[in-house]
Order: sequence, then structure tokens, then C-alpha cells
Amino acid sequence: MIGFDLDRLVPAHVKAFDAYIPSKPDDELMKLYGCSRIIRLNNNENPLGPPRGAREVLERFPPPRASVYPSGDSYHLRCRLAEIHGLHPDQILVGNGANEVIAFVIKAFCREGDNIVTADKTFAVYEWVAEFSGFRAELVPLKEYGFDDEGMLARMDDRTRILFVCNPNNPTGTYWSEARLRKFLDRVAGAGIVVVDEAYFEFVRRDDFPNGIELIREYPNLVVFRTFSKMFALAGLRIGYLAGDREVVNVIRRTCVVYSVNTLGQEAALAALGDGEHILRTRAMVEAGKAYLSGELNRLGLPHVAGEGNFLMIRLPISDTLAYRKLMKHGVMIRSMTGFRFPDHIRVTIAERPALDAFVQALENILDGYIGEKRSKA
Amino acid sequence: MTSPGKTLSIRIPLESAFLNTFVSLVENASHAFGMGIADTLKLVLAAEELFAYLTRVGESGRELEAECSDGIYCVRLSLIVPVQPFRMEAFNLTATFSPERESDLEDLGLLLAARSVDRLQISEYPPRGIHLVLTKEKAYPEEPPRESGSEPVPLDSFEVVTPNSEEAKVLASGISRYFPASEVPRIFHFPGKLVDVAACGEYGILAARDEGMRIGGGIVWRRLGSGLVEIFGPYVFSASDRAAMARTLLDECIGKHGRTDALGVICRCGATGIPDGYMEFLGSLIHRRAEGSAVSESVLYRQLKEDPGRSVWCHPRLRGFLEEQYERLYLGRSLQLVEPAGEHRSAHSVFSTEFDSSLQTVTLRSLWEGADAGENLSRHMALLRDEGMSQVLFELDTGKPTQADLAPALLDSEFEPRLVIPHGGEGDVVVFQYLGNGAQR
Repeated sequence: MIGFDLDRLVPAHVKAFDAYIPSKPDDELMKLYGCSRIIRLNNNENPLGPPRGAREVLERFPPPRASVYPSGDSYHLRCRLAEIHGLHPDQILVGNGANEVIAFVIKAFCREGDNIVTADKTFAVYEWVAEFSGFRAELVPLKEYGFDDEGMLARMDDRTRILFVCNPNNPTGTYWSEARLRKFLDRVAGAGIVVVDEAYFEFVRRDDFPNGIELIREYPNLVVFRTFSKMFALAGLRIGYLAGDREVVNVIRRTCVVYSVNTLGQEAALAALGDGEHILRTRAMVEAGKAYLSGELNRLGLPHVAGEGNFLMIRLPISDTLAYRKLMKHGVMIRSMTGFRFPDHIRVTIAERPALDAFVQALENILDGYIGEKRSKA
Repeated sequence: MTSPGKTLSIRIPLESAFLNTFVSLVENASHAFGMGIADTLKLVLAAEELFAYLTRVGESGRELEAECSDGIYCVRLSLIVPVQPFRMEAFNLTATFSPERESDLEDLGLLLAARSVDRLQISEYPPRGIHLVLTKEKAYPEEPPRESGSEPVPLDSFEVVTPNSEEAKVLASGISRYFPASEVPRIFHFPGKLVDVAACGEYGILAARDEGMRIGGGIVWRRLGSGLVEIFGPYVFSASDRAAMARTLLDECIGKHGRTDALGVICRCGATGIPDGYMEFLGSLIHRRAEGSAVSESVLYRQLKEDPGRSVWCHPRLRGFLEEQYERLYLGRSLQLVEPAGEHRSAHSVFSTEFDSSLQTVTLRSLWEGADAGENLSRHMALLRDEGMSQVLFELDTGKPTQADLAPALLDSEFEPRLVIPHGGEGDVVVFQYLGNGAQR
């Protein structure tokens, strides 16, 4: 074997970064944790599954088509999205999940020494992609669980290229109203790209909640992310998109990987659009689930944050990563929040009643156990 | 004196003719880095012993990669030594040691080097050989013990900040003054050193400060290897709501590491301020205090990432212990039993040694597994007893199948498995402590 000094070849910013370890498949987890089923309440997936049109696409997809490359730039899907949003198709870029479009934007606008500005306790991928690409992520603490607009503006400097706002914020569910977003965009005054991540847009039913895509005409430095993974339940097909000013998107397109979105994803997404009945059913399920879970958490005396989106964040009297393992023994998978810088918090996806019942029962069980341990120590 | 963080590197033939060149480099670099004369001489002595030893134990024609760096609070000499696998046994601390023959101590280059410095670490550096790191710390004035005196005025409100150097010294003084010595690591008695270890990035500090710039408490941490963070505290000495301050300090500290590559946080000292439910009890280690009494000290742990579950390699004799620990810690683990089936085994084992003279602790790890593991352990124990090291630990990595075979040798040599550190190495690490004859109970 030849000598190979890998260490010498790896840039410092990559060395400093640790690979994300996704959870193992259910069959492996069941073996390791000794449970007979896994209820996944960790990724904010929609348990109702994809809309009917998307299901039909999946069911009737002819296997021979798998041998043919997909549309390299998701042509039909972009045209349809443009029609829905009143944009030109060239104002849309489709990616392999919204995570991929985050990378496109950072690659397009950042060079050595530049930075991005975002919140400290939000979706981690903005920060991760910036840092493993060698750019600094300026993190502004949340204020009352929400993005701090003044703090973000104060943190900008002449090397700030992008400001990421998660609206509503994952995991707190707080949001900026249209007036607040407009004010922020006015204050940024084109000094950087403002990305508004609207992954949970379709779940929000507040009158003052902004539709970022409608603001693009007025603010050409605004880029909006949407995904088919949450409301449209196509997470397994990995598909999301961004919308922006035509010139801005033209720049981002130069960094994007064509053919990264598969045919099934494109066609299922196309068929999912405009299924109002699916959206209404999901919203009703989320509303009922949130009310039920909130009531149960109040009964257990557990503080929680229930904002917008199909999730809820709970503060526990024990370590969140320990709670994760204990709940796994009961076959319930949640998201521990230390990685979101909320130690002792967990985030739970709102699901249908049987799954939430199983979660509440398991939670009660593991917290009863904790109280028992404390008593026996005393 | 140079500005901090400077490094001098050299590639030098491992031949006795170059001994003076090597020693001169270490001496001059050490001076330039601001090390005092007495400490420089100790480092030079260690470097000399080591170089001479390396020229004796290896084949000719090899080159040593040496790097002398200014660690602000220390000077660090890092050596990469090319070694053929069949010559690895030379890196046992006890390579030429026989407990019956005192005179052989003169040949113990590694041991003599270890005696002159504060830390000696030996580890594998694949594929280039062995990595030796000698660390000699600079001398700092020790803050004299003070009476705790009257209770300070408690802080009603506070914010958590990264303290400047003066605030860090106030924090160190407050901790030394208001907490018993057994709960405070030695470094807090040397405020200047605490400032410097933070400045070089080896330690991190957070302090609780009020609007009047008074310090009411703090928490300190350092990295232990690649996946672990060791915390000290939180220490709260002045707050109207001590529990709230302790929790806020911990939350900030954990939050700081939540998105780093650290997998877990461990606490071996200063755990009294940790709120209930915040960390998990991994087990305990026995420590001998200065006055000679032995105490059991808890090791607490908190995972920073969701545990993905994993397979671990395990000898049947360790199975019961591991099953009990994994059950108690709710860790999803699949035990893969390892038993020798007559296959060829290397004749020699090699253990790396990490001396920490301030803690009187030696940690052994396996670099190379071999049939003589039991005898090698006995030799190490005899030598370490002579050196007066009061605490000997052995870390066994369950992620490496060949290490599972070491369990019988450890158990038969009066090492006791005390705790499991999840993901502490390639897999989970089982920490054994020597509790045999002469060790503290």
C-alpha cells in the first residue's frame, strides 16, 4: 500500500467539521433498542402521506422510465410553480430538497472572508453549509424564541453576503409578520441577499403571515425557499425549490447541480400542487394534534412552545439526549434539541392521535421513572 | 520572546551525531517561547533522553519529524517517529524494564523523558509511525489559599459572557475561595495559567456577570480527545438564585458545544453544582487525596447528539458488565462476542501511556494487541508503582475487535471495569482502574 498523508490534503475548515450522522433505518433501530415498532416524530414529516395526485404518480410510474435521465432543470415543475406564483419560470430553481438550494445560494454569493448572518437557534443547515464551505456564520441569539431583526442588522458588516431567516422558525414556530419582514428588507436595503426559508409556509393560517414570494418584485435581493417535504409529504423523494429575482436566480443557477432532482420527485411534486383538500386535512390534523398534545403536556406540567408549523417543542426535567434513548426503548423517536442549542428540549412532530397517544404514554413513563430515580437516590 | 502560537519544525536524521542539533533546537525554541531557564532545562533533558533512546531502538536511515510549538502556557515538543510494525514494542514504557533489575531504569528513555515534563502522550500515527508529544508547562504563581470570609453580595440579575482576562482571574479566585479543594481542579489556583490556557484555545470559560461587572460564578471546559468535552462546574458563589445561575451557565456551555463535533460532555470534578437530571451517572473512580484518604468520585456524562446505536466488540468475560451498563444507560447496543479460535496472534503487545503528573494519573491504551498482554500489564504496573503514580487507568475501545481480547488480561491483573464512556473512542470506551495490591481502595 502506498503512503498517503490524508491529513495534509484536508482544509482546516473541513477538519473542524464533523459529518452529520443520520439515524439508522427502522429495522436496525428496532434491533438495537429492542422495540417492535418505531413511531417517527423526529423529522416533521406529514403522517397523512402525499396528496392523492402524487400517490397516483407513484403508483403508475412505469419502471422502464427509471433508465432515462430526468429533466435536468425540472422544466415542467418550474413552469407550473411560476404560473402559480405569477413569476417567470427562470425565477424558480428546483433542488434535491431545500438543503441543496441552501448550498447553491451560499456557493453563488460567498467568497473567502465573507460571512452569513442567521439565528443561533434555528435550522442548522444554513450554519453548517457556510462553515464547511469555509465561511463564517454570524449567529444572533433568538429574542423571545423569535429571530431578532435588530440583532441581525447590527451583526451585518461589509463582508455579510446572505441573511437567513427561517419563517416560521424551526423549532420554535415563531414568525415575522409581513410588516416586520418588509421593515427588515427595507433596512437591509439591498446590502445582502435575504433568504426567507418558508419550509412550513403551508401550515400557517395567520392573516399577517407573509407570502415571501409575493415580495420578490419589490425586493430583488429576496430569495424564498419552499419544500415538498413537509406539507406535501414527499420527503423521501427529496425535492424543494427557491424563487427569486430573475437576475439573482440566474447567478444562483451557475452553481447548481443539474439532474439532481429525480423524475419521480418532479412528477409527484407537480401532481401535489394545488391539492387544497390535502392541505385542509393536514391543517386540521395538526390543529387537533397540537391542542391535544398541549393539553397533555399541561397535565404533566411540562413547559412547551407551540407556535406555527407541524411541531412543538417541550422542555424536559432531564437531558434531551437521554430522553431520546429512553423514548427509543418505547419505540418513539423524537428530535433532541441540544443540536439546536436548546438543551433539555425535544421537538415532536404533530401526528395523528394514536401516535401522539403512544408518545404521551412513553413520555409519562420515562418521566415517572426519573422521579422514581430521584426518590431512590434521596 | 515571540508572539504566541509560533512553531519551529525540523526533519532530522535519527542518528546520534545529530543529538546536539536536536537538543539545541529545543533549547533555543523554548527560550524564544518565553519558558524559564529551569523549565527549559527539564524539557531539554527529556528531549535528549528521548532522542538518544530513539536512535538506539530503531534501524538506521530514519528521519524524525519534530515540531516545537509555543502553547502560550507551555512548550510542546511533537515527534513523529517512523516505526516498522515489528518494532512497535520499543514504545512500551517498559520496553527494557525488568522489575528485578533496578539498573535497567537507566535504559528507560521514555520513562526518563516522562519524569521531566508535565505530560507525555504516545499514540499511533498511521501510516507514518508513532506520535510522541512532550508538554512542559511554564511556571505560574500560585494564589495563596484565602479565608472564604463573608458571603459576597448576591447577584440578582446576570448575563453569561466570555470573561476577559481580569474577569477570568476574579472567577478563578472566587472558585478557589468558596469551594472545597476537592471540588476544584488545581488550575484554578493559578489564575494566570487559567487565562493562558483559555487564550490558547485549550480551555473555554463562561462567567455570570451583572450590570455592575461583578462575577457571580462560571463554568470552564476543555476538549478531551476528539469526541469529548470535560467540564468543571458550574461554580456559583454569588447569586440570589444559585440554581438558576447554575442552569443558565450549563445551558450556555452545552449550547456552545451542541453543534460542534463533540459527542458528549463529561464531568469528573466540580459536579456538585450540576442540577438533578442534567447529567447521567456513568460510574465512579477512586482517587487518593493529598492527605492519603481514598474517595470515590462520580463521573457524570451528557450526550450531545442523538445516540445512533451501534455494535460493540466484547469478550465474554466483559459481557455481563457491558450489558448491565447499556441497560442502565438506555443505550442501544449489539454486543459482538470475540473469542480467540486458535488464530495466529502477535507475540508482543504495545500500550501507549499518558502521564498527567498534576493528577498523578497514568492512562494506558492499547496500540498493538499481542499474546504477552498480561505480562506486559504486570511490567507496567510494577514500573508505575515504583514511580508513585497513584491512579492507573486503562481505556479499552470496544470499537476495535482486537482490543476485546485484552479484557481477560486486565481482569486477571486486578483491573476493574468502572464505567463506559459512550463513543469515547472508535466505539464506546470501557475505563478500567487498577485496584490491586498497593492501589487505593
